[in-house]
Amino acid sequence: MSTLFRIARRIGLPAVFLIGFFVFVGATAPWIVPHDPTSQDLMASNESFSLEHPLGTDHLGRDTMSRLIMGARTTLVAVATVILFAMCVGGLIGTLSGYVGGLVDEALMRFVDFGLSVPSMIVALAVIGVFGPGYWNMILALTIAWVPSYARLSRATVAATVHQPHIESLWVLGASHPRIIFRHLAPTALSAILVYASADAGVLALTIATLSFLGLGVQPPMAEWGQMLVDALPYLEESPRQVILPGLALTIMVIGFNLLGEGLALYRAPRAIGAKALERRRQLLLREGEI
Amino acid sequence: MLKLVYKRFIGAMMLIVIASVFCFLLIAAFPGNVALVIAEQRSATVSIEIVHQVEEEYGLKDPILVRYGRWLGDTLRGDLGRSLRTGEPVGPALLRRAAPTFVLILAGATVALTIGLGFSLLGALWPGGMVDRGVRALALVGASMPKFFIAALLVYAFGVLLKVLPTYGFDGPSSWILPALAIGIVPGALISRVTRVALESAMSRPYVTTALAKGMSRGRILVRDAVPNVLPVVVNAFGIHFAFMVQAAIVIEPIFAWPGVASYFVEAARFRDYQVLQSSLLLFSMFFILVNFVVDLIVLTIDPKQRRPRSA
Repeated sequence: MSTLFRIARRIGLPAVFLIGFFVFVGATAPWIVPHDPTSQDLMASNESFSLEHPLGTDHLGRDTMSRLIMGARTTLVAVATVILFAMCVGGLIGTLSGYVGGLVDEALMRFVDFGLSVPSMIVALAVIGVFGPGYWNMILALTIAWVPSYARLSRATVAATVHQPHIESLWVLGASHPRIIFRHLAPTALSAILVYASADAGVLALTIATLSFLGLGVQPPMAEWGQMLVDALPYLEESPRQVILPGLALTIMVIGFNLLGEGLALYRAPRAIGAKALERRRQLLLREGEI
Repeated sequence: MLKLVYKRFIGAMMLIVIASVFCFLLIAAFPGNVALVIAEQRSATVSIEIVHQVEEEYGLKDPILVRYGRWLGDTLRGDLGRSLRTGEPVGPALLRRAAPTFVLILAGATVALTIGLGFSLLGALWPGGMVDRGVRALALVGASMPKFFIAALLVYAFGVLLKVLPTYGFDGPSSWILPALAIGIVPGALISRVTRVALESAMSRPYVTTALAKGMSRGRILVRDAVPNVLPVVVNAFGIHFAFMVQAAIVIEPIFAWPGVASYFVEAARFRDYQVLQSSLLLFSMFFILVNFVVDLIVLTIDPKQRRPRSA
């Protein structure tokens, strides 16, 4: 327990608690919601804070607190799914590219360069436009848009390790290609990828909310923060809290992910360095735009 | 130097070719039923005959390379096809909508650069002061806020509570203020954060200590010695955030009913208008590739260090 706490403190307690809170709420959502998040009550629409509805109700009389809680679940599940898919596909492409090298590497990386030069949301929107809106199409679109950055990252780590003596000696010893790739190269790439993913999760959560805000992501009966916000916009004047609450929830979650990414990037720093060196490293990472 | 520019140029051209392949493949090779969608949009009752007719008309049965060649040829000649939804030619529609988007991005970039440069200079003049801490907080919180939330808050503050600014439409400079703020504040805070860090390291150099010892004022050293040294950082950060601002336009334009390219793109995605999607995706991609290229060139010009070959 104390080891866990030490790790958490090194990463940063605020980040760990924020993300831990959202994960807990998301995981237990169906059992802790005070009301059914989809049940409507038109007689009680746009209500203010009350004991019955702690955070009020929306334009259809749905309980805002329950919808916020379910929204956390929707967002976290979607973020985790996309990161998992993008990590597998991108990691595989990148590792292969770095391992094989030569023409394959060149060709794959040019496509990756293109994917990185166009903002991911534009790529995702185009893919959704082709396949039509919907939850799984959104996941597919985001995966396609997110693969290039994971491919680039894992290629960089693999290309840096593949010519090191311990890999070359494996080759001399007669280890098979899959063995070298999956037992020795992939694990190295994985730690870099995981750090990147934790910071990236925030951007992904924002993109999911934006797509849903535009009506092209998560579809109605499911509760999602971006969608809650767009639903409430026409009633901005009479009940601004319906706009502010989901926006705030999303902002806090993204702050949590950003802090977590920053903390993990620092955590990977060489051991036993003082607060001053840690701060210097933070400034360095900041300047290079890594956090 | 010229050789480097030449190399970057070839790289950018190659990316554009790949972009065209991607745009073509996305629309042409992925969904098996382009003809069906077109037929559905054309008449209420879809029969096999209509689908075949559409296939015939658009040449959808030809080999894929032939179709790519034909599409590329048409595009190069400026014929971007017709919108499947409205039947309007895509090229002129995109041109007409380019101006509002240009205004939005330009206004947003002005806001971002003003905030970015102004506040980082103020922060460097009084390190740890109010401005310094305020901008740092704004950068952290702002970067984590969804763009549509910022826009909604601005609309609420200036449109609903104060009732001083128009909250939608594209008529006259007063309607530009809110969208420009919505798109520019956060990039501004982020640029200022990066610039501030760079300024700080420039201000801790020995030559600054010497200048201070000689009695020069902090402000003068900052402007004369530190700023030229951090310019590459600013240009780079601006380049990155410029791309993000165009991306933000995708959500800002629909909110403010802005008749620009980005809202055209969103409409196309909503109605699965392949023709418009394909052309505007290609346009966006070319734009971003060119922006990257130009930023590279500017950095090459103002930062002599970058001109040296990397291996040396």
